[in-house]
Amino acid sequence: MGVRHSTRQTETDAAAEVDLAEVYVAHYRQMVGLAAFLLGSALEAEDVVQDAFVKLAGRRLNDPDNAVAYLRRTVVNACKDTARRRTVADKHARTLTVPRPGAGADELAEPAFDRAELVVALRKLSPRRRQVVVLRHYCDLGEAAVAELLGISVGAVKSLASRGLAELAQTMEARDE
Amino acid sequence: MSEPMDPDRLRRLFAEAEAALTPVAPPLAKITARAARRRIRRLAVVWASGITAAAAVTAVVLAVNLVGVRSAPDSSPPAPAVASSPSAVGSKSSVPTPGSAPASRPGTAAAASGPPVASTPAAPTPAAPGMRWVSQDFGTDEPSLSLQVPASWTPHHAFVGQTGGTEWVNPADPDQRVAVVLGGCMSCQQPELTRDPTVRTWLVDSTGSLIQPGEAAIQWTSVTDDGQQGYFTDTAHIDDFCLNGDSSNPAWGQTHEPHVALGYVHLVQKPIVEPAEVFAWAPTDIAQTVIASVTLGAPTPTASTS
Repeated sequence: MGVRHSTRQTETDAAAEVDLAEVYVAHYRQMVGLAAFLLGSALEAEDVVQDAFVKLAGRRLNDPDNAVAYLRRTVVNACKDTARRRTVADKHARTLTVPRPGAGADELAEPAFDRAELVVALRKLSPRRRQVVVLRHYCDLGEAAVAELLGISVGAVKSLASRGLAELAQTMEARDE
Repeated sequence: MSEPMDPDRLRRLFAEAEAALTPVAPPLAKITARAARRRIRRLAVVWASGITAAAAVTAVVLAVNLVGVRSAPDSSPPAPAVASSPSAVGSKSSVPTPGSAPASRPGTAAAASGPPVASTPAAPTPAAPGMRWVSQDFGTDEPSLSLQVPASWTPHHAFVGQTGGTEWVNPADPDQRVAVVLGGCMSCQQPELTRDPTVRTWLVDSTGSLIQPGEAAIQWTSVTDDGQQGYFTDTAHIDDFCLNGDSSNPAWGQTHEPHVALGYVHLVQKPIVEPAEVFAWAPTDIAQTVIASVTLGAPTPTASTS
């Protein structure tokens, strides 16, 4: 009995490792993109995604689709937490009048991604609109999937996506002018 | 609000921005190693939480036990040998043998103070059929007594002895009683009290007759070497407790024949030597069960010692 259990356990572990490797190869870059568009920062995105894969590696992987969904949800939640921490850090930075990294001469050191027109425009959206726009149009998720992931209604997804796209267009037109 | 951005244009913009991303994926082994370390940390936290919780539970249990010991010293009387033995219950022996005494009988007692209080202890051993455990507390620093009484008998305050006590009376026959008192006079007959078996103090029987010193009215069986605990049989039917003429005592003048009168005495030492007594006027088997079940509890600690 114990031998059979051990054998099955080994098989499961092997399957789990294979799945993790496949998911890692197939989805690492896309998850970094998701996090980067949500956060507006390429460097923070890589940290978030690596943490998400560490969490994923600690779980049993029975279904690759579930693994990707779990990973995506983890990344989105981690981005929310990071944004929250950043807000608090920014508040204290202003209080202490410490210049933000990336301002002035340091701006030249900012990665090209962070200076991209779309990324700058996305930063101006509210967090919820940004999440909906990125998940709908970058990850190509359906409205129902986005609603389920964010825990909101499909109607709210439609509304947020529509207003998000309008705000994006307005921001980018103003920048062009 | 301007027109929404064309989704195709948005996808192109996403693709252009994504092209600027140059993520460096660390080796998967690094990820799995971090996952393993994270798992170990979580296990350590779980173990630490478990150990902390176990320590907390242990502390709570110890605290509860400590409080229980201090507030209910007699809550765990041992199972009496006679009470659980059908043959012993049916025995015609008028005096319980020393071997049938409760297992735990401390030889010392502490100071007397406060009124007696009867209660129902939580006994770990079941009472004999038709019986229940009760406890008589004699106040702070006094040892309490636990014993079994018939379940249907009703408790009343007993106006006897130095501080009184409790009587459990058979509602169907008031002559059947179990009494627990502190300071009763029956133990004046106890040889160990006078340290001289030939010297007897006086007693008054239920009719008011004086039992003269030297008259063998009571048979004694000591259960401890120091003579501080023992059983007695009232062979002369001295049914009251040396009542000192207190006519308010409901037991005054009552006789309990034909029931056997058995008793148990424990001498307390402080502040004066006086007995804690248990009487059972009842059919032989019930009286034997009651007396054999008597257990001396630990003294209730005083505030200064707690």
